[in-house]
Amino acid sequence: MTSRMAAAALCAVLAGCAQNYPQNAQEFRQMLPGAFMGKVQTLEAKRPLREVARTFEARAPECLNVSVRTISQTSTSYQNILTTYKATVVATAQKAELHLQREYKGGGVIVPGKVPPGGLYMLVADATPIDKGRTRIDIYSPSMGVDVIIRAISGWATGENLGCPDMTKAS
Amino acid sequence: MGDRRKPGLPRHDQGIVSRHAALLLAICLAAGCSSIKTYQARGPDNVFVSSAISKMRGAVHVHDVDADCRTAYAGTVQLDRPEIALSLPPERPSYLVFSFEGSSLFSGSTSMSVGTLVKPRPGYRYELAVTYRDSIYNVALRESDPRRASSRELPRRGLQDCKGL
Repeated sequence: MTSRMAAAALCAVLAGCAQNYPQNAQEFRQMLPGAFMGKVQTLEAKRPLREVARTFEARAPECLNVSVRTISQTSTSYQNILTTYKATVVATAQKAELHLQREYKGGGVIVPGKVPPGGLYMLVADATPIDKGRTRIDIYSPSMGVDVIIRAISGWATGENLGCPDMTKAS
Repeated sequence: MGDRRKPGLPRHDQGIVSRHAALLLAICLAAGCSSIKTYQARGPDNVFVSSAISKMRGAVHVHDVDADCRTAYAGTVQLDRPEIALSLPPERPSYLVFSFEGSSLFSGSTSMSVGTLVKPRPGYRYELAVTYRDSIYNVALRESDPRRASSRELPRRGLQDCKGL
């Protein structure tokens, strides 16, 4: 729950209290580095960009286009929230981008601002070539609650683990 | 399991359920009102599921799929051994839903599921490698022909791919 609050805090900070959420991946990249609870991390994969891009294209839709239903109940409250994730991969000869968006339905979740189609941006991963056999991955994300997603993306990039993240562990 | 759905039914959904809800479910199961039943063999074993699951309980829920891609729950097998064998009807699609359930003090009970269609060919052997470790899971399907000693990896297919199977 702490990480969920952190994600909410990040959204609020990114919104700048003016409900100004990033409307595309580029805005997300620009707003995140200076944001509270925002994090940019870099890793290196010893694989060519085209292989990294191919893995992103194969794994991201299968693993990340999912819905998570969260039901929490106490003696005084009941909440049922459906969270839908949407992954988009944009690959060119120079770069591969993985965008992950999240949209909430139900449970009284109110997003005070304009939500872009597909949901709020929660993570962007950019893969760019270092040389013929190595690729740099820059991941823009909240600093909490997305560890399992980042581990999965790192595994896809390096080719060491092609498994999917259990999105019930993301928040 | 999805809410108000057959056991483990095919939704690319993953869910987090509170401890209270899990307790209610446990009471319901203990009272014998569960709709979960053990999958009964329907011929020779042709699907072999190997699993390596850490800190979660795993199960596979088998659903028959008709020509109109409608599903009918056929039964469940717990993944409580490193390898289990299933006999799925050949030449007909079945939808296998793998579920992983666990609980922790802070997050309560969690469950998630992932499904894949399988349409066994007569005489072929199917191997499913299911892993769940550190919140990363994988389900890999391989078809092999014992007569030719050849095999190939098959993609995971959702119910939306049923018509083209």
